[in-house]
Amino acid sequence: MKNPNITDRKYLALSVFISPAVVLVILFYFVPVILTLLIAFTDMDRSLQWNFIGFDNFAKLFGLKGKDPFIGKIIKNTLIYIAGALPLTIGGGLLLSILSMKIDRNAGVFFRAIFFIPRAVPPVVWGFLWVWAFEGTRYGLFNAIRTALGLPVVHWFIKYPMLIVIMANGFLGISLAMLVFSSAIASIPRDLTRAAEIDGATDWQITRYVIIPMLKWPILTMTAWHLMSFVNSYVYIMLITNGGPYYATEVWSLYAYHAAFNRYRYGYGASLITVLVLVNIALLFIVLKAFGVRKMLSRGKIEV
Amino acid sequence: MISVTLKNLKKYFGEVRAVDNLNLQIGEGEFMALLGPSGCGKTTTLLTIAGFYKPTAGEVYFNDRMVNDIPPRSRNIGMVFQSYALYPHMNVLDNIAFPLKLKKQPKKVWRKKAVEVAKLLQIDDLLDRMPAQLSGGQQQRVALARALIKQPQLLLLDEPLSNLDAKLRIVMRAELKRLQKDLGITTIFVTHDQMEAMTMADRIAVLKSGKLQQVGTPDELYDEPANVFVASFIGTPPMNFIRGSLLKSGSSYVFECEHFRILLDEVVVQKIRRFPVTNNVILGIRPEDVEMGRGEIKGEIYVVEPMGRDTLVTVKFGDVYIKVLTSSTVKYSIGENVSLSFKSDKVQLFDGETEESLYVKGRDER
Ligand SMILES: Nc1ncnc2c1ncn2[C@@H]1O[C@H](COP(=O)(O)OP(=O)(O)OP(=O)(O)O)[C@@H](O)[C@H]1O
Ligand SMILES: [Mg+2]
Repeated sequence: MKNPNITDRKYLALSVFISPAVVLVILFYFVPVILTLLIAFTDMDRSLQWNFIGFDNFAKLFGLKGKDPFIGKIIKNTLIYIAGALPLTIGGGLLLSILSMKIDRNAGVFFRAIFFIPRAVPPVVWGFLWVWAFEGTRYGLFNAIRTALGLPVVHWFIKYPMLIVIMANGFLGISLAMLVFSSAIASIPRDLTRAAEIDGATDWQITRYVIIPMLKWPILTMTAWHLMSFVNSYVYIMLITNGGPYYATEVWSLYAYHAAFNRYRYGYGASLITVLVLVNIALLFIVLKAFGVRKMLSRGKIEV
Repeated sequence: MISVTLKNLKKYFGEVRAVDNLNLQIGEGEFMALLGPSGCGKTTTLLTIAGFYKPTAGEVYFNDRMVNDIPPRSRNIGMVFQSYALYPHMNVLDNIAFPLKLKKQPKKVWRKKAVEVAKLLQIDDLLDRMPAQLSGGQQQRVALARALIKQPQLLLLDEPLSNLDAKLRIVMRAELKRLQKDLGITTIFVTHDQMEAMTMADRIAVLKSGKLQQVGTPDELYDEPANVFVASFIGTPPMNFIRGSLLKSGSSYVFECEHFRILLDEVVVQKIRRFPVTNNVILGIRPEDVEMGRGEIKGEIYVVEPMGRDTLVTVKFGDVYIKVLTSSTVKYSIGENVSLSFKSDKVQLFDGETEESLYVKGRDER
């Protein structure tokens, strides 16, 4: 028989220990989400008045009542950005991890360490590095080189703003993807690649038919991770181009930020965020479905 | 089929001499076992022959051709790894056919050949399974099928039976031996199990700490071990060793230790090729070559271990213990006083210092 007193005491102790965490989660996660949701149905601005206007914000967003002239461009930007940064991250990470495992051990470690630097520096520094490198005057890194070679300066940010933003974020993504892929490759049993070599496989065939298939789970995980990250994060874009020039690199999450905190249209910004949250939930659902939740959460991401 | 020659082969990993000056010839179609305890350099030797390791020094020849600079994929070798190394993401058919698919052979061709090999190894009903769905014995056959499908000129097997349970191992031992004889492929087989080597191989090369101890047929190793290590490694239950001195008395020789002395038979004396520097020697005698009941060696029974057909009796003389294999028909009990004798032509003598057999010439003279 269970002693009810002991169980009670256990629950009491449990709730005492767990309650701060619960309070924090509620305070910093649920409350903001609910607030955002509520604000999305108001036309709240700088004056912070709660004036409920029903679905007007969403109607405007989808062009049903009134029209946001930028929304089409924002969606297009977001898609281009993700379509560029995601393959760059996964493909680059894969390529670099495979190459770095091929070369001498110490050189490989050094090589991977270099590519991990972007993760180690503060976002502001990383952002500034790109701004400085592609600065449109002769003081920017690349233009300084061009000037030295007697070539005219190029206005990089006017000509290729999206490309720069994609690369800055992609390189950041590569560092994590490469780390994950490298450790996955390192855990592939040596005998397996040796067997392939004895079977007559070239380096490329070993990579194509043995290594990459065995990285299936790490690749899927990293794809999902970075997909969500590119949908939601705007910090680096904000630091590098701030969405410009003239909305050329303004993606959805940055647009929401600008609406709320630059133009003080809190209500509209909140509705943009709400849509983003819904997109996130949909993506999460698709990802979990595609992976099989249980498989992803269970161990053995590298099949041996 | 090819012959394989290892000439002064060395493979060092920093300070570790995994293979130390190995000289070995494996004839066409021969089944050679590399036998030795864990860490003696068997796998390293195999991987060097396969081309995964560059020798620190020395050469590997296939027939008369030096292959040191030929990459593994061009050596036409079939290999079965200790872990089997099946590709986990491919089914059995694709695993077996992988070497042919790499060569871009048409599907009709590789399919037909894979099914043929699978039939040979009796795994043709498993072709759709994934490796994870196979038992150890089945995995081993798939690995073997994959090694055989490209009709290699040399087959390398790294402890292929060690992951199987005892019963299956005995079955596979016989099957593998038969298969090797049927196909006639030159085969190098690595094992640390002397029984496996004895039962399967045409010849055995015994290694210790990267150094070759002895090469010979199973009978040669059993009857004429070159040193104490080989003598103790081969045969179960292992050989008995007794330290003592070799003394000359008139025209005959006497082995003397603390507890007994025996006059060495003429046959034994005939076999001695050289005499030890000092008279310090080690006498070796296999448990089945000791006879109970009569003789001048007297001792007391220490323990009795029945093994079915035979019984293993340990006899104690002071601080010396001798194991004797006797027929189970006679019963012995602990504490009983017995006398025993050695089958005179079966006695081995080793140099007490170098532990080399006195029956073969010294290393330098060989
Ligand atoms: N890649 C390596 N780097 C450094 N040392 C190694 C390497 N491979 C093997 N060795 C060392 O070389 C020696 C021989 O190893 P090897 O694997 O050839 O032994 P083995 O006879 O196959 O043993 P086992 O029966 O345990 O498989 C060991 O001392 C081992 O530690
Ligand atoms: Mg080994």
